[in-house]
Amino acid sequence: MATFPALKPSTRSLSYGDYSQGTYEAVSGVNVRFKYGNDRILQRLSLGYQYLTETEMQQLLDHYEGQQSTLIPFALSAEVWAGYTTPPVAAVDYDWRYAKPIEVEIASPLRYNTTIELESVPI
Amino acid sequence: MSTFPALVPSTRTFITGAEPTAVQVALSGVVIGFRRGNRRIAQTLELTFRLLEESDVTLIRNHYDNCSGSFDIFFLSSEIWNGYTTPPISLLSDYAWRYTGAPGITDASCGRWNVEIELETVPIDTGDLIFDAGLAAAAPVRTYILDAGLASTSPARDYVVTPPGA
Repeated sequence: MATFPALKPSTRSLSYGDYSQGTYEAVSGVNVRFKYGNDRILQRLSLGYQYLTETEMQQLLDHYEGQQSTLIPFALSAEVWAGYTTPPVAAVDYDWRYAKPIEVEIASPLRYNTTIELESVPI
Repeated sequence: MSTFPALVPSTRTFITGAEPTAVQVALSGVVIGFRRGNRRIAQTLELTFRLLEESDVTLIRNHYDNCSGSFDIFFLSSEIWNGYTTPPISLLSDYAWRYTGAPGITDASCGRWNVEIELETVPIDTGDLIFDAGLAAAAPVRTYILDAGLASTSPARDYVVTPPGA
């Protein structure tokens, strides 16, 4: 399995996901819920990269291509969680896949910005 | 069952919700409303915690996981209503809380994180909220048992609330 490129993001935002469940609500507003699974779904990780060199940008594009865009899940590199003592999402429990295509902006001559949206896949 | 971590929020927005009603409008424009319940629903509390250390972020994450995300209910710690003399919703009232969505965790600076969460009230039956059988314990345990009225020896679900400061 291809690991996400070892690039430390400039910004990082994690939406922690929720547990699969069904909710049935009475007219009084009281509801009853049924849990359908023990893994969080729809965890979103937004990684912002600024002033990447062309080589670094190409690493991301090649990886995206290798994963057949949003199709194939992959593991994250340790650099993605730089700053954490313990990553908030355990690698043994979740892989990741691209949630949408990569958009590349030109930041300055020969430097590029991009934001990558990932979504977790329970394993 | 757990109590929300004892962290003082940086910002706090409380929306009082409304009692459940159904409104019908006649062709003349006259409105008639029917009340569907006697307790407010959709009371929400938006909390932002800024520049938290990793250990505090982990407290919130672990609490969220222990509640199975938005599935399970819990009670708030007194720190959440820090600044209020009387919280708009009592810590132990006929409302519990649950997450409405996933916490948002954003890197703030080196080794510091911002966390945003949104909570919603869940009406509960105060008759099921047991205050340690009325005993004058120094650290009484409050237990909320869903089927307490049935005197079941193995209740389907119970909630033990750690009292503030205990």
